[in-house]
Amino acid sequence: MSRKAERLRVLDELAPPELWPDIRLREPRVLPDEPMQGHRVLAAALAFVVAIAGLGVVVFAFRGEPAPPALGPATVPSQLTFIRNGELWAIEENGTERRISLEPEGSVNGVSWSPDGDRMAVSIEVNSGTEGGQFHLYVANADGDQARRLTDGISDRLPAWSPDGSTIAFTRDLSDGEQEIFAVHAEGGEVAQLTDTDGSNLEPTWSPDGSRLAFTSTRDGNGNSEIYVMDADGSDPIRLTDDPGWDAGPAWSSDDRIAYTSDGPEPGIFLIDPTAIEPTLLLADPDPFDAFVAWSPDARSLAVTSRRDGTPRLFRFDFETRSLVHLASGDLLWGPAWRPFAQDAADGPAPLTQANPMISASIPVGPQGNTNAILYAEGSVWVAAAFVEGGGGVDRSMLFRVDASTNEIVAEIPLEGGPTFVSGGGGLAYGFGSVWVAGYAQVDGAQQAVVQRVDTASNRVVATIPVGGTYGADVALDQRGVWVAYFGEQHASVGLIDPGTDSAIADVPLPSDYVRRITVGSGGVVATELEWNGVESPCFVLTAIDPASATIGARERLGPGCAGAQLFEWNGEMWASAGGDLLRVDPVTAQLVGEPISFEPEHFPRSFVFGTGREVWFGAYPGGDGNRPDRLARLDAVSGQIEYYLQVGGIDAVFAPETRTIWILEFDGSLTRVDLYDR
Amino acid sequence: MANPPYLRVGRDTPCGVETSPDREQEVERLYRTEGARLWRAVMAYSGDREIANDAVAEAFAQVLARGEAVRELLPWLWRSAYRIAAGELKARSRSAAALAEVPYEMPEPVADLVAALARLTQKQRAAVVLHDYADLTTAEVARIMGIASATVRVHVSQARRRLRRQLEVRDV
Repeated sequence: MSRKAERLRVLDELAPPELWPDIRLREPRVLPDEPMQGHRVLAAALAFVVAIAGLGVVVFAFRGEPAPPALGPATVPSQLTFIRNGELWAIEENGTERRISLEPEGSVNGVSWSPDGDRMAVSIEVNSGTEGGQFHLYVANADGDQARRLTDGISDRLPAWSPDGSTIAFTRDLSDGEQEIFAVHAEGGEVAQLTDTDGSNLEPTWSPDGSRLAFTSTRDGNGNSEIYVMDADGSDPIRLTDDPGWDAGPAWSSDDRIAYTSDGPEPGIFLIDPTAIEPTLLLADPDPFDAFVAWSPDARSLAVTSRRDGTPRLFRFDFETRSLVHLASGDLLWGPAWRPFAQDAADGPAPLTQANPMISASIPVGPQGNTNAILYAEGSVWVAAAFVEGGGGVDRSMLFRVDASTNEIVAEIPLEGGPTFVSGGGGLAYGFGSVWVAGYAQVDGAQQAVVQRVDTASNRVVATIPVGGTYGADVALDQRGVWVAYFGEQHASVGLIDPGTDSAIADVPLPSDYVRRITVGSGGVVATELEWNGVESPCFVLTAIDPASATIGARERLGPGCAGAQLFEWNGEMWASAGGDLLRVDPVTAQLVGEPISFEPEHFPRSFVFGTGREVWFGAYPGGDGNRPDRLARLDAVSGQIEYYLQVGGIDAVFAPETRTIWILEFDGSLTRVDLYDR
Repeated sequence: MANPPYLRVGRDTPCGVETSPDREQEVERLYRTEGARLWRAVMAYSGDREIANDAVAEAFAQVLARGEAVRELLPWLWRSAYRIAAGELKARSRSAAALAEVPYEMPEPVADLVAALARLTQKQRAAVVLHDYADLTTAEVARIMGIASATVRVHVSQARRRLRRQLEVRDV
């Protein structure tokens, strides 16, 4: 026994009382139901559509049971854009908004993205000069430059890019005040008129196979607007709706549903199957004239602009959680459109890495047992180490910077206070030209949770920012600033630091007294708390923080057996690894989405976990119950197979996608470089 | 790979209850062989004899009542006793400082240790007692506390460092 453990052996001198009579006679209290280990049951089959690159439907089912219906086509990483006050905006992955500036001056009127997400078709209302009031149709690069005029029409609007990328349908205002639908090759050329009827035909949207178009029309002559479908060449029009409401704004999903708005007796957003008769009300909306809808490429979400609560807002409706998530506000909101991200393989799942991981370097960094956090930024791997003995019994901590191209330690940066945790990862984040370290330090004679800002140009600590509490646990960044999770003896909070002033500008107390990790996702900030509730199992809780208002949103308790909750990004989505399950998390609501990927206990991801393409890489100790992960493992999310590779002792790991390198921080304080070579 | 996929779906599920005389004998055997160590650990963790008595007795009573539903007795007992004590501590809202002020008769080295333990955070105290005194592995401590084994190591190392300083100062 170690001398450290020997110190507690004096407890053996304590004489316990005889309790057995009490045990036999006592009436056990009613405790909350607690799951028993060893009684995990197999539910029906798992059908899981994994978030991977590609458009194919990827379902895997297990145990030979019939699989429930798939949730839909595979999730395609995508970005939502919208028009506000004539400007084009994008919702970034972390929930912030970014304006996309367009070269042609004027008000953006309508946008449609190419299937590969590299370009946009955009109609712009020219505001000045002799062409003022005209609508010009352009194709531009995704960042808004290289715009070129697509047609010579002066009232061409509302483009819709075909699924095969070849054609752009649009609405043209004619001189008689009516509209008709036209189409043009995506590279330009002659325009083809697809409709020519009394009344107006407008707002085209493509069927997923590109063979048909749905659109809005008043051709019946009764003054009302209905939804129609026609072939892509304009032939065989069929009226889809027939109701007293003004039906408009159709959007055709990749799983063959059409959403549209109607102001009939039940005003709102409706869904209709192109072959069905009866539409169904999806969302009541008292003011559907201001509602515009757009399907996400995977058809799991519908972007909706609405004035449902009196203020124009952009929402995302999630079909799995049936939740409506507020994304943006503005005086004039319309034109939501989803930009698919470019795919390497447009017609199938991402390829599986023919992995033959090789350790190509092992770099001694910090002292054994005391290195903690790892980060990849600016071509460097950053490692935080706590309690590097500084002589004279004084603890000090360090941040090491390793050049990822030379594998050399290029900077050893003394920290004013240590990272809180000497294992378990977390506590480092990158942004605003700095590496940010959560930890604690002596401030004004007292220990306080701090965030230290390390300038990456000078490799020096340029700010030590107290945030309250005793221990800083973790940091994460979005464009609002630096989010820090911290805790004290009996409270935990999430704070926000303004990187402009290096001072705390918001604080969100959490219900529990322990917070471990924080991360940002698309539209939300999520913290992991550990909740203690009497004798019930202590359990991790995912807590959503609304980044706009810096207030607590919904919380999701992960349930018993949830030890070791970690959050990670996989194909642009937030995932949690907890208790042997991989769970997809809505970053806005912190709610779990879809079915978990569950592992048998001997294959639990125990330490680091991250996803790339169709793969999840993690540290595990297969079949053992040792104290440390000792194998690098990979789950192929399509086949469900797990393969084990190298012996590693990973505390945490980061992935450098450009070189397909996994950097693993080992318990012995070294940094292992693993390059994924093809076989 | 020829083996079936390793994934499965399913959640922990409570199970039925059966009791048998054999089970009672087995539980008593465990009480006789493990009860003292369990009690001392809970005592060191809670700093309170009454909490230790209640948590240990209640954990064993729960095992008796649940019968065969509990498959792995010892891990279940450790987890339950710890959680009952943690719940009681939380209910009483005891602070570490308050614990230190509630001494009772015990040998001086033990009293010193309990006083030093009382200055740790509750989680540091639990981790170091379960790991260093009860000789549980980090993974076992993690399961009992419901936290990551890596976090257990943090708490143990921080607790050891603080204990060393406090107890070595006393020794001088």
